[in-house]
Amino acid sequence: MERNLRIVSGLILYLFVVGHLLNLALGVISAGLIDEARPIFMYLWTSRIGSLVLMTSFLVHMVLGFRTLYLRNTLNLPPYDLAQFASGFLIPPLLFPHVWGIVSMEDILHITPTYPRLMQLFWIDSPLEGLRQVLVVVVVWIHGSIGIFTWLNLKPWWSRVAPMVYPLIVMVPVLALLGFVEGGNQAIRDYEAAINSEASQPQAGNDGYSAEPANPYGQAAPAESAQPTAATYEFIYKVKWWSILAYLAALAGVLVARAIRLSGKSGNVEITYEDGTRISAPVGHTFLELSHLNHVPHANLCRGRGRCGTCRVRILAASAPLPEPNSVEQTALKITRSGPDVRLACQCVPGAGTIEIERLFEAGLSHRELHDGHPETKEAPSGQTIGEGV
Amino acid sequence: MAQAFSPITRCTGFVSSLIVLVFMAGFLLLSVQLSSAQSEATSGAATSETSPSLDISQPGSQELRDLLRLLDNPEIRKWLEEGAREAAGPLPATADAGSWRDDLQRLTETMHNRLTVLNALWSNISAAPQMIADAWQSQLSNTETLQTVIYAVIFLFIGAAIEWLYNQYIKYRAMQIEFANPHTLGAKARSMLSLYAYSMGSVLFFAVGSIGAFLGFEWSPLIKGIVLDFLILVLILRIVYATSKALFAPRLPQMRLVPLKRRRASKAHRWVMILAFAAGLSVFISSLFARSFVLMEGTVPSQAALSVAVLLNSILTVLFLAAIWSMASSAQVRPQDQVRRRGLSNHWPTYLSMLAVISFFLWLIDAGGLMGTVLVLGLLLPVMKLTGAWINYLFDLGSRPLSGQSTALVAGLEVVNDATSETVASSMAEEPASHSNLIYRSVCRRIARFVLIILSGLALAWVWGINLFDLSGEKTFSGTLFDILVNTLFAVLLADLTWHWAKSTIDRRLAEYVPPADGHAPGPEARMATLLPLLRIILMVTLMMVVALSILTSLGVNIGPLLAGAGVLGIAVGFGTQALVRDVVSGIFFLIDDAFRIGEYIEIENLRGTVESISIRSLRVRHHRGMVHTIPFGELKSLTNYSRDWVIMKLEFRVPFDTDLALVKKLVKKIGVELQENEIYGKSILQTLKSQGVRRMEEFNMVVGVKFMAKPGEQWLIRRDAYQKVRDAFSANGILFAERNVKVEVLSNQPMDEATRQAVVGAAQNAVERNVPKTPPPDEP
Repeated sequence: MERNLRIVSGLILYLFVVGHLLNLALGVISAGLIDEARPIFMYLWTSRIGSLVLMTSFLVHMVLGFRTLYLRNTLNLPPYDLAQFASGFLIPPLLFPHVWGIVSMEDILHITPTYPRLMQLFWIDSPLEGLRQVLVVVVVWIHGSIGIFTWLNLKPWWSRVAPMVYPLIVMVPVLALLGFVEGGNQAIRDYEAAINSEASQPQAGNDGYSAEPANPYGQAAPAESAQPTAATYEFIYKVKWWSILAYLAALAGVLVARAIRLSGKSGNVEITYEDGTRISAPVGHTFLELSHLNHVPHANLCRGRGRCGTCRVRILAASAPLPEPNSVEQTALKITRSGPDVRLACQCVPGAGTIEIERLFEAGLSHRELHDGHPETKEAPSGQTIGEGV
Repeated sequence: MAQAFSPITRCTGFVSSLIVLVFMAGFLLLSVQLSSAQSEATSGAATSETSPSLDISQPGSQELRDLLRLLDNPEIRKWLEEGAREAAGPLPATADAGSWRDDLQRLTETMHNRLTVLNALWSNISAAPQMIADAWQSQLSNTETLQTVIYAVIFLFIGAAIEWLYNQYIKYRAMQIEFANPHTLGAKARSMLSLYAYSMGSVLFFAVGSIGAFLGFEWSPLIKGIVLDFLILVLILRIVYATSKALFAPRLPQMRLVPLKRRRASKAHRWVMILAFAAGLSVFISSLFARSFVLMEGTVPSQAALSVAVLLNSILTVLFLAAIWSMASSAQVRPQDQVRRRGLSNHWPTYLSMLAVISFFLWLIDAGGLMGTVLVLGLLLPVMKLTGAWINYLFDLGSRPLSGQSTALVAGLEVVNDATSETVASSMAEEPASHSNLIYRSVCRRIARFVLIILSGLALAWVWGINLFDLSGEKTFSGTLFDILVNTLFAVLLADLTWHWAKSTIDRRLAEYVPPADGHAPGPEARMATLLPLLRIILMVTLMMVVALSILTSLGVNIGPLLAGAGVLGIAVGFGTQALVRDVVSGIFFLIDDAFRIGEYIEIENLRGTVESISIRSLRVRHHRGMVHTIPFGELKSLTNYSRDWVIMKLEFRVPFDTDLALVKKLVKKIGVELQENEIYGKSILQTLKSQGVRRMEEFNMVVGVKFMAKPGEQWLIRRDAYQKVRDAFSANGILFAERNVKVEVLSNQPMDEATRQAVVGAAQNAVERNVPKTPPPDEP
């Protein structure tokens, strides 16, 4: 349930981001094209239902992120997980000013947020916002792509399609950013032209590029006929910062809760692998986390989400009984028809004591091998993996 | 083996921190050199006091060249060229004077100027940041600064994206290499190199992506320079990261080629990255100032730049000290090792810290050349020691191919306890090192030392701004001295390397030679035992001659007449000793041909005997009857060797015509078997005695041939027994040997009286004896 919710909300958000970035990517062809194509790309999301769905997905995804953070036993993660985790928690504070800016522009200041206007804002009036914008593209794209890939990794057709998809994954944000640069350069050129023409004739033609800064993000002067008061700007500004602070407070709260949750654990667990490697670490981590923390190779195609079953280990000896499998582990063990001595390393948290385990899959396992009769398995009958099971 | 291994484990701490040091030295030298060049350049414009090291276009290292290429901003270049022209003014005058005193004076003047600037700097340093900020703002507005940052972020992202794409396609290949467990040194090195190639490929794609995207746009020169500087800084840091990671392999113990345990390897790696980052940042900031302040006039910005440089270099020095002491503290794991540590290795942290601090202060007083010298010379010895230890370690690694299980064991234990795995490693290394391993090890160490000395010489030349190849043009005292030193050093090192290699090879061959036991023929090694000492002496004399002559040349002595004189003398002596030379030379060739060995029985024309000794000129042969022949090699035309491989001996028996040949054949066969079973010479018989049937018919008898094949020298004894046994067998089986008899046909039918019969017999006897050819008995040993 929770996993499906995460995937669905993530997919909706990703779809929106792809559309948005593709729109921006048109700037590579010509800066004017971005704004012309805007209604087409934004059609789906500007409707009431569309924006509602988008907002809901965002909130659901964020809450699920907090939940994952709370349940994490260690923050010393493998690179990909760390990237996904960190980028995920960076998104809200980076993104909120943008979203709020657009919303406030339309609904409070009653200015249509066109691309030329925004380009001028991002590149000339408030380049710090532009920098934030670039960062948010990078961060969102990293987070979303890792999520999508981790989900698709286990599909049997993915290993064939992946080599074709990789270039696309790279092309979308790269082109979008290049479009952003091109749009910015155009804005700078127009701005300089406007200044020059203003110097020659005082009445400047208002063609969307105003020499006056039009900054709805806070401190700047009004530009349109609605003549919003300074109090309105103050309000917009305050809401922006208060919401960021609220987010940070929530994050800190989750971290504190997590620390409280983990503080009860004590003792050391010592694990011996089948090849003689021995590690020793404080309790509170899953087998998979222990392997990663001690740089012991351990297969895990779904990155510890309990979907693939490649991290399974056979318990050869244990000084104390292991905790009962949770529901995710039970499902995985049932689908793979594993014996009673086999556990899912990404879900099972061993208690203090000494344990001897055998990894059932080679660490260098690739997705292709997983579906092509998995030659690496050391265990023929129950070497089946979940694949599309979840 | 254990002996060869234990010094390594003992000095791992020393080794590990020296590895850090190698990286450090490069950075320190580079950054300090660059920043001093820049500050000199900036201060040079103000005071118009210039030093020869203004010429910064010396291609010292790739990184420097890259950075300098960035400085190719036309304005900067123009300005630098002006500075260089100014500098060229006073230079010829001093070069003409060309004395040590002038060099010294120039140095002290530079120092004095720098001290004046420094004094002013200390009084102004609080104002420096504001000054810098103002200068920055005048060059670049806030908007522009932020725009630059946006560009940099975008290009970095594009580079990273392209690199990620590359990684997707090679990911599994690299992962397989990582998880493989190479057993031999070669396989280890191969895996390491391929991983390194992959990561460098990553960097390359990153570079293509980021710099490529950057070049696709039009930029103002200032932003272009700064962004490109930044991208190159990132690139260099990534290259350093990949290199350091490949070298230390902090997470892959099976691929680590340095004698460090995991914890220390990752520590070294971390320090290298910290230092690289600090040094890179310092260079970047310095170049930033050089870019922004070029258009400013007066001493103020140059002082600001200097203050920043002082700050950055102080931080750098402190970081170096921290790195040194951090590595030192991690090295002192086992107290019992400390007792064994002696000499330099006990004091190296202090020594290296002193070096860093002294270098920093020398830089502070603007004695760049002096600083470089101190740094290069001070690091030469430790680095040589380090390289030697490393080569030793690699050879140790190569001489014991690790079994997969023991590697896994080491890796496993390492996680739990570093010290335990060290003892395991050393206990595994009990297997004795092979001989060739030792030889190549020392040759490798010599080569490494040689290369290091040459490199340090080049570094010194670079530090002093001396072009080695132009040096002959300069007639200053120090220049000439340097020239002589370099030449001598080069010749001696090269000769030493050659000599060591040749000597160790020859000595190894000689050591392998075991003199044959008494009564056994010596093998082919014997001739090498004769030749090699000769070769060694010749080589030594030649090398000494060459070195002496080249030193004399570099000192300016004209060796032409010497050579000519030696040539004339050589010709005279050569004519006189023509025969001698011929003997020696042909002797060498006879030895190479392996025509004879000591102890072999040979025949030369009509002289025969056993080879007793071989000298340079002649051969001593002892005849089997005791005479000794001395034969100069030059006289040898052809030579017959009786002691090679096998000999065939043919025997003949004369039997009457009525002999049963089948019986003879049977008897001979039986005797052959008997001979073979003899315990003394049975083993020497290669093909035993066998009958060849009737070889020919003579007037009174048949000649039955028998033959056997035996090892050389054994045939006489076998022949003796064969004769004896054949005779016994024949007589036992009623076969008589044919006797020479004469049938006298008396035509009268009257009975002969006794006297007549005697006369007839006597006449016949005469006839028989007349017919028998008189042959001398064969001369056999």
